[in-house]
Formats: sequence, structure tokens, C-alpha cells
Amino acid sequence: MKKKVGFNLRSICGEHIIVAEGKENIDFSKIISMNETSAYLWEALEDKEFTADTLANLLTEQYEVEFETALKDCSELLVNWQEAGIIELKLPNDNC
Amino acid sequence: MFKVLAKLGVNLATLAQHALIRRRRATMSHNFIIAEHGVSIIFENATPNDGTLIQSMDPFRVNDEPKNLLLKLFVTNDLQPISPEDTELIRDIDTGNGMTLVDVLPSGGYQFHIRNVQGNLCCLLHTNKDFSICRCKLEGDFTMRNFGLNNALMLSYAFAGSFQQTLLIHASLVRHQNKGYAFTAKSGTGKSTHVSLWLRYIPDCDLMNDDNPIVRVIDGKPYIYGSPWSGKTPCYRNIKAELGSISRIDRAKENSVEQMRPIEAFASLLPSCSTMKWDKAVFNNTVEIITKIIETSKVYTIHCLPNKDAALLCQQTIAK
Repeated sequence: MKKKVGFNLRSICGEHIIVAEGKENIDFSKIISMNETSAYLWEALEDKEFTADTLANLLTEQYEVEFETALKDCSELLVNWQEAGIIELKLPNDNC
Repeated sequence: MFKVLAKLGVNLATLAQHALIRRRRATMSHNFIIAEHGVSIIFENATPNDGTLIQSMDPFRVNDEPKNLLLKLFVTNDLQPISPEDTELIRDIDTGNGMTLVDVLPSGGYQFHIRNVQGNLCCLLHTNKDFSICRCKLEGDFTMRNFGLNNALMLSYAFAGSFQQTLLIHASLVRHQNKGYAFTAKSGTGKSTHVSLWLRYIPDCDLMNDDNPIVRVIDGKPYIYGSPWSGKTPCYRNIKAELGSISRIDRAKENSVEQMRPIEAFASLLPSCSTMKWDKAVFNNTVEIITKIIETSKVYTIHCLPNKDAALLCQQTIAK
């Protein structure tokens, strides 16, 4: 999976939000609110491709949490992100 | 013979005078200060266009070219559209007053085709990247050219202003005890109605603007200004006030007022401000100014009926 381009993390009065920008996102008018953990993951991912495993690993690096627990939470988070429309599945033949 | 020459002489003199006047009129500058930013409008080979097109700007007029010039807008007949092969199409945008086609120029600046609600072209506008230098060509009858020029100016001002912590907000603005209270709402929800209730029932109130006031954050403090753009209400006032608050009006069956949390406030303000989502620099400016406004002032939701009690409750809550 990949973060959609133009979905940038911003901070307002100490709270984290994702605001879409760019020509591709003119019609995306939602503002996504993120908690501390979610915001940390979003930043840490940079532009890299990722799976639930990637997120879980990032979580265990930063927080005291078992990998299995982290994985379960991250799988749920991925569903949330997908529903919010801020990530995209990378197609297998994308590089062709 | 002498008579003829004399006559010819007079005619020549008159002609020379005409030529002089014509030359002087070929370039005509008008200078303004809007929300403490200098703006110059220069008519250059622009016949029949002249200052009569911008009468709503009169309260903002100054004699000399301001030192802190935000933008220069040239009105000229010597402007040709750049063909689609050389531009990047952004899209045709519904401004609420007609469609505006937006293209990116090879220079990184913009081309706008501003049309009225009938779909007729009123203005072709070219800008540089930061909207400090803009050129436009006006089309159609007086009403169309007036519409075209005012829109070109509003748009250029909004985007040039974004680089100077300045924002155009779609709101109705009332002044009460020297502070400005702005009201936003979806079209037709009744921001003007709510403001008219303040004017009627609350002492020490006057209308600052009814459509597009200007917000600036100066040294960490938010201010709000009247502007030459006021929608259908001709209220073009060159005045400034501390920003009291910004409130979003929601029609409801009962009157109540609540302060928004920062994220709600952001989501409420962003769609009310003039910006360009596709332009990284301008959009980033807009987001930063909105963030500063939220950090330094209060944003409310007003659930209200269109009645006197709504205005009174609102004033008691937000104008403490």
C-alpha cells in the first residue's frame, strides 16, 4: 500500500490533521483527524510502500507493545485509512 | 489663403492637444490601499475601459503609488490567450457567479477565463506565480467588463495576499464595539439575515462588509477589514477592526451557540476562504493563516432561527 500523494499531516493547536492538496485532490474536501500514534505512523512511512507488518514494526520501535497486538491494531487502522480514502493499493503491474 | 491657414493652424493646435490628451490617457494609473496593502490598476491601451469600471474601489483610493505594493494589475487590449497546447488545464471552476477556466502557464503563472452566469467571457487574466503582476483583457458590455475586472482583481488580491498573511473570507461582517464579528454559512442559510438582526436589535453595530471581508494576522493578532467586494450589498468600506470571532450559521429549531474545537474550526473555515488547492504555495499559505486565526481567536457554531433572540443570545455569547 501507499499513502496517496498530497495528503499532508498538519498540526493545529497541537492536534493532528490530514489535509489533501494538489490538482488530483480538488474534490477531496474531508479533513482527517489523527491521534498521536496514527500521526506518528503517517510521518514515519514517508513515501515508502507498506503493509500492516510495516506499521506494526514501526509501532514496536516507538511504543512498548507486543508485535502481535500492534499488528492487530494496525490492521484495523489500515481499514480506517482505506475508508477515509487516504491510502491506495499499489497494483502489481504498476511499474510496467 | 491666410484665413485658411489660420483656420488650419487652429485645427492643428486642437489636434495636437487631442493627441496629448490621448497619449496621457493611454496609460492611466489608479492606486489603492486595501487592508493596508497597496494595489495599482493601470489602464494601458485599454479603450474604452477606464476608472469608471472600478467605482466600488473609490473609498480605497490614494493619490500616489503605495510603497508596499501587493500587486499591479494592467488592463490592456494587447493580451492574447495562450493556446491549450502550451498550458496545463486545471479545470473549469464554478465560482457561484459563473464559470472560470483555470490553466497553468509555462512560466508557472496562471491563465483565467472569467465568464459570467450567462457563460460569456468577461475577462482574460494572466498572472505571474505569486500574483504580484497581473494583466487582463476585458470583453463585452460595461456590466460584463465591470464584472470581469472586479473578479480579476478579487482573485489576484486573494492569492497575492496569501503570501502576506492575508485571507479573503466569504462572510458577512458586523462591527460591534470596535470589534469585527464575521458570519459564514452555506449560500442561502442566512448570514446576511443574521447580521441584519444584529444591526436592528443590538446597539453600537454597523455593517462592515456583506460578502468578502479580508482577514490579516499582524504580529500574531487577527484583524478584519472591509473590502471593495461585498456581493449584492454595495458596502465598500475602508475600515479595520480587531477580529472578534468567526461564526458559522446553522439553521435550527432552537437557538444555541457553541465554540468549535480547533479541528472543527479548521474544517469550517477552509471552505469559506479563497484558495487554490492545486497550488502548493498558495494552499500552504491559506492553511497557515487559518491555523493562526484559530490559534488567536474563537470560532463558533450558531444554531439559530432567524429571530431577535438568536441575535441577542449570539451577541451575549460571542461578544463577551
